[in-house]
Amino acid sequence: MIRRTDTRQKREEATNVTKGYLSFVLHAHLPYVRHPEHEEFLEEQWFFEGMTETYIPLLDMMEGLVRDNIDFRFTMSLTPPLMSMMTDPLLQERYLRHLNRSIELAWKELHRTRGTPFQAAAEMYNHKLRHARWLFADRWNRNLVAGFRHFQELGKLEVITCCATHGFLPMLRGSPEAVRAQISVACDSYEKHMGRRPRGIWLAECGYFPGVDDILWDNGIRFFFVDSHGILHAESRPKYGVYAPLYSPKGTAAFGRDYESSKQVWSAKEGYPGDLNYRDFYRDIGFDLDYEYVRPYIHPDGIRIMTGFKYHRITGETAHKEPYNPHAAREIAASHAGNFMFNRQRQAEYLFDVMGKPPIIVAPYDAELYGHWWYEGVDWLNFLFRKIACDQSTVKLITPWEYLCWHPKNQMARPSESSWGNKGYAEVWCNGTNDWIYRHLHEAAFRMTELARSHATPDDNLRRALNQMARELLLAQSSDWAFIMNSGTMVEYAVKRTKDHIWRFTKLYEDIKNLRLDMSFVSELEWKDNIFPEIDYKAFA
Amino acid sequence: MVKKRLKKKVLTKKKVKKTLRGKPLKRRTAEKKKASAEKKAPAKKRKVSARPVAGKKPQKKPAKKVLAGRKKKTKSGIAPKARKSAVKKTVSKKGEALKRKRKPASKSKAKAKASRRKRPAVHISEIATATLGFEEIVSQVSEGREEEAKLTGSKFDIGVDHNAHAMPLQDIPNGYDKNQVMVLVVDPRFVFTYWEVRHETMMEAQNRFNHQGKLTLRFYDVTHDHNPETAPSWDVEVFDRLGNWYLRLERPEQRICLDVGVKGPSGEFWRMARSNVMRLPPQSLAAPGPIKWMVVTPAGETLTSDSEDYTEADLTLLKKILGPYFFDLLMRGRFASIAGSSVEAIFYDVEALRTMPSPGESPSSPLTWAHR
Repeated sequence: MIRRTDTRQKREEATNVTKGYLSFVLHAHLPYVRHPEHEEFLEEQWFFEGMTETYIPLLDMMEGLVRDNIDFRFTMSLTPPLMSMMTDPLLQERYLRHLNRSIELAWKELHRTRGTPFQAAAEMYNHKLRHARWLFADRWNRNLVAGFRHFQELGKLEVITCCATHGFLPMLRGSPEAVRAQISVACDSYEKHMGRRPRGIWLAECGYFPGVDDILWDNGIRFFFVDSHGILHAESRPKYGVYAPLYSPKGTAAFGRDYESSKQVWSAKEGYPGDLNYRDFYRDIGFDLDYEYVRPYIHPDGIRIMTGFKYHRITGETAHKEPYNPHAAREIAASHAGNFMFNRQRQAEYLFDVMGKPPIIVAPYDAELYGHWWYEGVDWLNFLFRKIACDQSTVKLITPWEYLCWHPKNQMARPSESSWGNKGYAEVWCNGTNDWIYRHLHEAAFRMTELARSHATPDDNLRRALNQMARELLLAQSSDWAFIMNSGTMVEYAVKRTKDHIWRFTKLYEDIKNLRLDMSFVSELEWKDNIFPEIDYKAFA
Repeated sequence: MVKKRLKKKVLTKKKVKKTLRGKPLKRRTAEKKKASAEKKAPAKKRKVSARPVAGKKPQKKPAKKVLAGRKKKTKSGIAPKARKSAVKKTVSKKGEALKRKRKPASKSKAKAKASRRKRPAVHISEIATATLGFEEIVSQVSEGREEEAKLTGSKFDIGVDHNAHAMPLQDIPNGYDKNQVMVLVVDPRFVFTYWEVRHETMMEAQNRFNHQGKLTLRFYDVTHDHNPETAPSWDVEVFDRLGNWYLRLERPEQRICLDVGVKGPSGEFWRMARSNVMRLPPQSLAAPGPIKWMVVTPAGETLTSDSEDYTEADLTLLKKILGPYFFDLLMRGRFASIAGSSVEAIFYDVEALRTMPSPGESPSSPLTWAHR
């Protein structure tokens, strides 16, 4: 397969048709939130919203592209917690319940808005939600991971993995074993879901430090991504800037983020998502309508939350918001896609001229930006892929793996420590709001390593307890908790989650040390924190 | 009289409301203050009428709960999530003294905010002619990073600020009864360190120095000399046996480690624990060195093929790739603060600089990039 494409590719390059490559990377991640002990849990809403607005529409988009015989390529990182949630029967059941409830509201909304300027949006929601239910329940049989795997097997999508629980590696490196476990557990989890080892990885928050590349290579990972300055500040000067990958001394390839294409999409104000015709994220009927009307669709405790029904467009920096027009917004999305393609064409032509070879423009984004935050984002992506395939031949979509197959010769230089967070390093995850966690995370990792090394052949109960300790530690290491503490919203939950996992871990540790293992406690934790059922605690040894 | 008094009362109420609601008022310039004051009342009405309930008369006062959902809105329409200063707390919940020295970080954020106040909206057309200073551009761009963080955080936004009441808050230990010290990199100029000294060790030290000893962090610069015993060092006196500290360093790429110990009255140092060694990341382009090439086959075989010297032509190529503006930032060691930033205003500004026609430049060098 690759060989045939390879020849065609070389011919295109030789005739100078392809001036550059564009590699889209969507990073899909949510922290593991699953509370079987509560009938409904507010933070599970994160997952439900992501499903309805981002993951299902992305699958739908790919299906449409394949149906229309559009040749497209992109890379997507599905993190192990997200894959685990997508395949968890309890969350699947709860999501279906949530979806059914939303559809019920969508019917009511159809009646309520009839003859008003909001009717078009209500019809859109009604249609989209029912279609989402069909895709989720019937087409993919409740398991979206199978959907992504399907498109990977078609060769259109490259699914890569991420750190096991999205641990921010530069801050975990106090314990090298913890860093290794984050990667090896992730690779095992990927293999279980996707049927083969991952070729690439998205390091959580692009958090890289020299040395991670070696661990990646040892786990069979061939490429990863860093922010632009990770490449530009590499230990030896990068000849082609961020437009060609660098090999680490062992051979793992590091691709750098293109700062120009990022800017066009990322900026909330001046970027595409800030267009005044796009849907406003904050105006939601969960807050706007009469309490009694929305009561069945908000949190059972009566807390008003977003329902996903939003009827206004951004309009401007004003409290007054105009009604949202889905058709107009779609038109704008199409024109933005055209603009993005135009800019990439010019960029590729320019870089091709100065570099003398086709550049690879790597454009990574949070997947949840598309659909969830920028409601029309998935449409934009859809238009963009179609335009790139049909309207031009200057820029070609590619996955990093394909690029490496076609261009195996690259410069060797180790990238520099970096992240894609604010200011480019670790400040978001280490400041006065969240730095207290690291003492505990490191100590827990030391203790895990100590037990993993001293218990080579445990009995059944002890093995279960040790495996559960590994799960608790990994869950505590998720970078999301530090991120949320820093951001100031839902802080309480992040603090409680961190403390909860550390507490559970510490109790298990002390029980094992004092030879008083409480198996009912272990069973309870296995039921609550059931991520990575096949985990082996020896990953921390 | 009664009427007059009532009127007065109402007015003062309004006034209070304005000052409470109108935090941004302070931020605006004098002219804008006036304009916004005029607009304020109708804006409130419009807000209600914009509700999607067709045919309903606008209520005078929106329900409290409706407002609660809106509080999050800011001028730019984004929840003020990442805006919280990185360095607000000085004392942790558990009574650890967190002696924060990170003022520069918060200053830069304040600076970014200040620049936002001055320039509420920059239009593309304005930018072509705008002549912004270097510092201004950098502060604008780093603001873009904050925006990006907000967007990333939007996936956690379901419209409520607090929850998790149903979850119990578990108690975790303050410390782990061991002598230890750890150092971690925050950015090229900051490291974070935390330490713990056992109570017994502390008592022992106090007996040793006859209660005259002072708990001290001794930092070693092990960049050139890898042996801390002979490397240059400096001390920071601390007061708690369990705490943390941010240290600002002058030089990126420094290698650093530290000891926690007690310093006696005559200067002798009794070490209790030694940390790991951390190397600060570089802040700019590496020194010129040979370019090594490598081939990695799809099957995973690696071949180091050849190497070439880094020449002036390579530097010129990099300058062309980045454009003179980004290249300048890179050489000044300021690239990390703007990399991946998202303020399109800067994008256009930089493009204007970058695509300045110069003799001999490629004809495809686009002057029309920034069309929307």
